[in-house]
Amino acid sequence: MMMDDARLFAALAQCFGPVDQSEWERTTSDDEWQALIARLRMLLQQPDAFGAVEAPLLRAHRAVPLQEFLSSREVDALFAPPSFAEKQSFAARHFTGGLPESALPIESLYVEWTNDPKRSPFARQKGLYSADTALYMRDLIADLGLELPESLAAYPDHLSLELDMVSVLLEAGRTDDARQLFLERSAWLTAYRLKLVALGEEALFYLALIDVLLGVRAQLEADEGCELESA
Amino acid sequence: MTETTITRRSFLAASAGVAAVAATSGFVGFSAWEAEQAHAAGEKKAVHSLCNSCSSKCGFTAYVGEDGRFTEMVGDPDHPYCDGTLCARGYGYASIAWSEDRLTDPLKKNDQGKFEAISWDQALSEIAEKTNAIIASDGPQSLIMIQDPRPSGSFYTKRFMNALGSANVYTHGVSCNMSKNSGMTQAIGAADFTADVANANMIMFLGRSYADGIRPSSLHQLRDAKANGVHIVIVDPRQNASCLYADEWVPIKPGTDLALILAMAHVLIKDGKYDADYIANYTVGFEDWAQRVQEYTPEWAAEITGIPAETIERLANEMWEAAPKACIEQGWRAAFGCAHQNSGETARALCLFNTLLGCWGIEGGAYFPASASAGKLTDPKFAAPAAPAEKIIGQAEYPVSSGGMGVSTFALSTIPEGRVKGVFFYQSNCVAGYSNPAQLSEFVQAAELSVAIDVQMTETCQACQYVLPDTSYLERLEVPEFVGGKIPVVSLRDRVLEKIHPNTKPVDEIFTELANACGVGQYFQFTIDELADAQLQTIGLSLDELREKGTITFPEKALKYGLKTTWNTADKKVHFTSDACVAAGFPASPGWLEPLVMPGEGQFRLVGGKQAIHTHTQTANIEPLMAITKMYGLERIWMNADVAASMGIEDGDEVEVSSDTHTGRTRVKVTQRIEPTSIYLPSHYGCSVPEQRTAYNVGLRQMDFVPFHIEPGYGGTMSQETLVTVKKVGA
Repeated sequence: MMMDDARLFAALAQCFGPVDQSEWERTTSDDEWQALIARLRMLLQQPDAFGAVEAPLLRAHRAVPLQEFLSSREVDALFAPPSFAEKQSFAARHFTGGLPESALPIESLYVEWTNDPKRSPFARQKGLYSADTALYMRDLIADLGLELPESLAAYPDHLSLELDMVSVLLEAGRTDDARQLFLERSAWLTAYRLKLVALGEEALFYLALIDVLLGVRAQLEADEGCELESA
Repeated sequence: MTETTITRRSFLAASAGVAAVAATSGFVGFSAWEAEQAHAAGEKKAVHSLCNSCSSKCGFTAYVGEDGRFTEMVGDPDHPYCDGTLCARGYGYASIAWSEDRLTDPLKKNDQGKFEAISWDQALSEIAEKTNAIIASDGPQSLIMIQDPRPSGSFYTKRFMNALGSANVYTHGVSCNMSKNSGMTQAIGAADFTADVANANMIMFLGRSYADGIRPSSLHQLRDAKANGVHIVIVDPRQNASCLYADEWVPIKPGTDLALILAMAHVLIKDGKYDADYIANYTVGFEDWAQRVQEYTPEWAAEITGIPAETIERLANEMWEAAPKACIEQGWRAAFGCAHQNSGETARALCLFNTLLGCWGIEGGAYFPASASAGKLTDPKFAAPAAPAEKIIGQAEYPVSSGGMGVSTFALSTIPEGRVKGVFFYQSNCVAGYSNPAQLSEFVQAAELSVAIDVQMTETCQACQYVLPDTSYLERLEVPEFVGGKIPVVSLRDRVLEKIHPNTKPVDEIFTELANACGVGQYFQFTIDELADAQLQTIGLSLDELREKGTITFPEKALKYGLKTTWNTADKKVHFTSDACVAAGFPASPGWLEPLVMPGEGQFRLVGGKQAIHTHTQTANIEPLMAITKMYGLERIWMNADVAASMGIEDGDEVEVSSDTHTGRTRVKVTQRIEPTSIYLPSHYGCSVPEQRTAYNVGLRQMDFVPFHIEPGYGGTMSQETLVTVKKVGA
């Protein structure tokens, strides 16, 4: 079964956001999940694969083991997505704010609130909700005629929404925009990764996903570098 | 993939469809967006609100941009506490609205003692079930509420508890100004007065520092006093920041202010230097006190206070020469708000000394602020629950304590014996600040039900079973706040920001929903907007009008100076003697009462006190304020330079501080600005909650060094009744 990147990013978005049980079970059903992993494996290897239709030659890369990109424990975790109850339990302890083990996947918390001192007395401070990245995502979502879901309306730069936006742009055939958005909106994942690392074993599934996204990002950056050189 | 598929899976509902996304030119990269913002000149909306960084609640106007942020806060010139100026805390504290450490969901402690997010439905139903079970088995008086008074919090917490049938609503008073207020009430029937600092001839401060525990208007008064040539004397173990404005710093041993007052009274009464007419006409019991202070000579007091006898005599005479435009300033928390075994009696003696000066109500003396208030609400939907017949727990055990504040620490101490079974906290970090934290945490954890409502995790939240997430003060409307002053006002805390976290709730909604869940929702059938408007309608105003202006003054109710001749006591007179004090075990008129503990060889008294950029533990987690702490090493303890030299301790050394209850390490500031028997530990630090990422583990916490004990009669926490030793680490 093939999975295109729009669907892939929509599924990844679900991993970090609030979804109902039936939705989660559909996403993590064997066929769907195997297809997702297969496509991820592809994106991790091919600089020019982002948003591209799977070409016959690329299928050869399906056999490359994920261990080349992830630790073996991460691979194990990636192949065993949490049940809905496990996902809920993880979210109740880590995707809530104000606890020592909080690990909310919201970009605002990892970047400067704004770098324009005229726009806020708290310019350049980190660790605040509703940073410029949130305002940017809010505006972008509105400009594209999309609506924020109520459950995440307060966090427009939640990782789920950022990944979902990549998905929407890919679906709309705007591959270059999707690529730019992904590159711009994934830089913070390096800092977020450290939060997940601190949580240990129980966060391995999410850590694996973040490492995959960082791997995809590295490929895109390499691709950008090639384009620059050829230009 | 079809559009249907993506809509099903997508968080972002494509209202116009993916085809529209494909067609629109709406995508803008982040850099381009940033550039646009830099040049955007959108409208700014003015919203009036009240600060929440300390209990003064200064009025300010926030200017909010189209992006929902505010770029400017301006102090309200009409607000009596603010006087047009906000302090550093006011600006810095605003960042809490967006803080990473905000609580975002209701929390419940699991079997492993860790918090997990739960739904509001689950939180409310479980809390209500436990509340009602406690009422059924032990009655409503086994429930208590502890809250740090704020406009809506005061209204809703009391209403909620009274609706359940409990009288037990407590403030933070035991660790603030309860002993002072209670002692003053015994003498003058009022819990407070205001020194007319700027217009006086002479003012004496006992421990209080306007430049450290800032209320901007008070600091302006001190500035004006200095400009007007007022003789300003500051009596404090530490040369506090207000000494910049003072003519004289008089170092005193902690806990001995009562001896100083008694000796100054001795000097004046012995020489007949007192307002005999006032005392004859408007007071009772003077002879008793006059007789009692005969033994309290300046020489006697010099031994106790460390102040030379001639200084005491001189200060007493200077006060008399300056009278009636002179007084001892009323104080707040510092020296006798809750600090020592003799705090209540110190406050009582202070009022009696001022009575000798004949200063009450006189311009330049000591006045009682003019006030305004809302009228009674007549609409049945605002009908209040009946006041419970029982008295607040602790009132019988601490008979001269303020019932309006209540001895919360005593009520908590009855949890292990089963008298109190359920405890609610609203915006109160009781565990970290009201007495020994380890002991208080143990009490709270022993309760059958414990619920804390706050914006961030605190030591108190940590001890509780349930934590409910409050909105920040910038995200909610509250009931109007009436503030007394030379010109009284009403002011408003309005919503400056849209709610940031959807699963947080403002205090009015939390208590309304709790009341509904507990089956007493009939007393909460109104919105906060309706309540605020109804209160204002009783005085001919409206919510819209107050929203527009922020603060409205009542010039027709302005203070009029004039000798105060009637008092709110049973016989309308000032009481040099008090039957209630006698019944509580004190002498009829105040005499010398030693502090509970006295330092021996190698021991120091540990004194606390505010710094200008913090409010107790409340602001320590605010990054811009903590940055100032770190820049100047403000978390350090202070030690007298001569003492430090004799111990081989140098400025900046790491030292170990120990009391009977705690040992901790910090750095030391070596200075001549503190008298030799004291160690000063700023009362903002030592946060033990890892959730407060900025404050965690910075410095030491004063209350860790203080045992759990309560001031007899008055109920204060005796926050400075502890002795410590200090040694250099590695020596």
